[in-house]
Amino acid sequence: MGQVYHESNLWGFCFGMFGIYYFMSYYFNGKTNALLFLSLVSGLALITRVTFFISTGFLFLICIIKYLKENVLNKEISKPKCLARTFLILIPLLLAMLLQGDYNYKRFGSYTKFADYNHYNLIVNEEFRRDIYYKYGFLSFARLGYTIKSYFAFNKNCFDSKYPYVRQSINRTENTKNVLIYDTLPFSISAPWLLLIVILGLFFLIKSKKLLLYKIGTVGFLIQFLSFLLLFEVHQRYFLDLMIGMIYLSFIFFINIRKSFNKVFWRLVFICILVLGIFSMFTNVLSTLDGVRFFWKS
Amino acid sequence: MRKFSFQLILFVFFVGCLSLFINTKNTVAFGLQPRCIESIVEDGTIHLDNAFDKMEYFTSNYTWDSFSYKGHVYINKQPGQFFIGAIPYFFLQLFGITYKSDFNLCCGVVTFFTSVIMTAVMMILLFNIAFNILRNKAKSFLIACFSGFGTLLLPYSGILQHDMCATFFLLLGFYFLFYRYHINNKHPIYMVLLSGFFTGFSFFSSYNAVTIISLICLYVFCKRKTNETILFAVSLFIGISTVLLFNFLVFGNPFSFAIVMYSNFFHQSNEFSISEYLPSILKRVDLYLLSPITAIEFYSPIYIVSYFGILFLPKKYLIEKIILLLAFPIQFFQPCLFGVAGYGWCQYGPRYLLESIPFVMIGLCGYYTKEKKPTVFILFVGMVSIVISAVGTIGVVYCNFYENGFVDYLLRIILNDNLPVYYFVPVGISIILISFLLFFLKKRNPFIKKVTFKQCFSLTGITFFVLIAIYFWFLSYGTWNLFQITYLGTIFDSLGEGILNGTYEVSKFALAWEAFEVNGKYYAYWGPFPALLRIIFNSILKTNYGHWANLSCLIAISLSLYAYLKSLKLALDLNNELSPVWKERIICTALIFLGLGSPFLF
Repeated sequence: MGQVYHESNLWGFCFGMFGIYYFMSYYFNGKTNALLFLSLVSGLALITRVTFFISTGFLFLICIIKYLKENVLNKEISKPKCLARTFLILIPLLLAMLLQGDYNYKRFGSYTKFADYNHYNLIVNEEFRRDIYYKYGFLSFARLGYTIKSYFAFNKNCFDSKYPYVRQSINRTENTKNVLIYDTLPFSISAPWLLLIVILGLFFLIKSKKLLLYKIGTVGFLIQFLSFLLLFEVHQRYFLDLMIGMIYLSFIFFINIRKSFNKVFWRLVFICILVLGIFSMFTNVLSTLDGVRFFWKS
Repeated sequence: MRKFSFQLILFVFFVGCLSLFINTKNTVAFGLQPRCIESIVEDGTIHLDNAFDKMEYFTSNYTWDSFSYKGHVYINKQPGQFFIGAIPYFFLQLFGITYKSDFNLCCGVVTFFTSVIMTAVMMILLFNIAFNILRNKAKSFLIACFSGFGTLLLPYSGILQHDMCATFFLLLGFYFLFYRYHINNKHPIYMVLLSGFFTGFSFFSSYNAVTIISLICLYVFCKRKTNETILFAVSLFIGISTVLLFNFLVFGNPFSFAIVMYSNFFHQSNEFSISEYLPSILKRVDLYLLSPITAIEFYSPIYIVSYFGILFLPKKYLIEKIILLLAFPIQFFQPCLFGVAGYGWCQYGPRYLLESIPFVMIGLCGYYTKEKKPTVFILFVGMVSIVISAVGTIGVVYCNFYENGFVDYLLRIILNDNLPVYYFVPVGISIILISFLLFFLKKRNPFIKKVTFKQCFSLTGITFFVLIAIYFWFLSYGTWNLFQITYLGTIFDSLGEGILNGTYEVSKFALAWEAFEVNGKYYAYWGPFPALLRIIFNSILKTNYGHWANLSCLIAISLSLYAYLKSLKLALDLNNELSPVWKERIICTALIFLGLGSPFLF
């Protein structure tokens, strides 16, 4: 809510969402203009929050390869014209790369270095954070179990008998020395409806024989997803980075509603989504009200 | 009907634009007004008993404009504005929002639902009149814009003020007659009755309305329709009788106006004296027409240009031409102005001419009916007037009698000196965006002649805007004020400055513990995009430095939800198993679940 951390995440999420929309516009409806916008939002994602660029940039890469393949190999338009158009499409992304490169260079003396934790105040000044970072690294597979538990597993500590009844809480684990865990409201409590839709979406995507590029597109989201599961910190605000890929998969669910299975199955699914959705609304609104209350107290 | 729909969009647009200028300075400009509104709604009285004790939270010191009568304190103003303001305030206090608890919010909302709405309606009425004369939407729109944004109506729309209320009712009275004579004569009796009532009712708000009331009477008389003239006179009397009744109930005599009681209280003479009045005309010419500090052409040059335009109106409008030509001089010479100078007191521009402004501005139509149109000249003068008026929104109470208000305010803007907070900007921007949405909705489907209720407020649209409102509430921490100091809230503002000087450095103070310290210089962790937005925001309103985070988040949230909506729609369009109704239901449900039932809310 209105913090510098959230602002950056929200804008990154925003460009990620637009990235998905323009990807779908190009992929499903063949709109070439969407490529230009995809390039623009990828560039904006890059200069906002680089983790969102992993997914949007990957989607853009897929689209531009598809565009070149269709137009150059199939010789639908002349090569120079096609290359000129491709360059035009690339301009917004290139400009963003230039700005981000300059930003990185002025800060750390390298065009590709987005952060240098050796100079980061919190790493330099806080011993426990420094220990985790230097001992176990920025990303580590050893954390996977703890992070998954924090982000996804049901945590009864999130519920309370006092107002506002639901609040973010740390999911205690036996050994969390290699990761810094802050209070979270795991997906199983904050958005179980989304989890159900994602599972069904994933099922339909695997089952589908047509959506090859959409399947490839998941790789970008998977990298973004994994990077946060392996990170040395667990925060509630990182949920948006995890959620973007889940939303991407959920659209496959919406495309396939009622296309297979019988009516009884879909009725059951709708009822489940509705119940879980209403539950999610309660948990999210109540836990956010806790934040509003905290603001007034402070 | 088609015209109506276009005007609805225009109205929303004008309301949005005008609400941008509601600010903290004007809310305290006329301190006694809120107190009187409060008395009417909360105490059920018009007097301000113990007003001076209760006035601690009003920063204004306009206490000399009141008098005592039978042990009660009354304001030396016509009561219309207070009763008009009491309507929105009545609903506000039902929700627990009062002047005592949320002074700025209350003033802003009351201004929004009174002056802003009235000014927007005036602009629409002027658009209609101009459209009737010119038959051209673009030109009529331009005339409405210059009338509303390029004259004193703009600064005074940011405050609930008696002359603004009177101007509104006077124009309404004139418009009903114009409608009856030139636009549609299907219901002449109703139109004349309404015109008479509103013309008379304007006196309930301001004494300055008298001259224009007489002008509208002359308009009816010139049309030589005896029955209608009688009906008009009757309804005019009913309109005027509201103030007479008020005087009778409060002061025991229908003709004991507040100004009379005020003069009696201070033992001042309130009799009109020609020997005192005549010499004041020269002073008045100087103040209204010559002095660079106060003259109308220095505050609204388009007003003067427009006045001469009345001469070029088509012959068909001969009677209107005469009436409109009289509006300025009759207001200028009116003997009802009090004091020798008759210029008012602390004010931005000659406020006493407010009542004549909409009438004079119709004259702009005259230029567009000519073959050789001075388009560039009018555009230039109009734009200059808009700038002067927009600058004037800084404060309608301007008490420096030795310097032009515009110049003084301009210097203040440049020096960033004691500027008010325009806290209704998010509301204004949202309303403007809604007007654009309505416009594109109308444009996209050429078969739709009118934006229907269903289209404007479709299930998806309502869901979307309700969600935005909820996010607005959460982001403002329940205060409805987005511009608050937030956690590390100046980082992007500081980074914006770093981008402008090419170093990307951020102040150590702004970064606190979130800093990359490289060779003694401090840098931010985050990407520069939000800082680019801050450069734009701060160039518009520098006083809000460090207070933009919530607004930035709200924009990002709105765009994210919009992108989700579009993507979902695209996905569902690929599904031919679902009916359109089901698709809309699914979109709304998914939107609500994403907005309120996911970590997105955090």
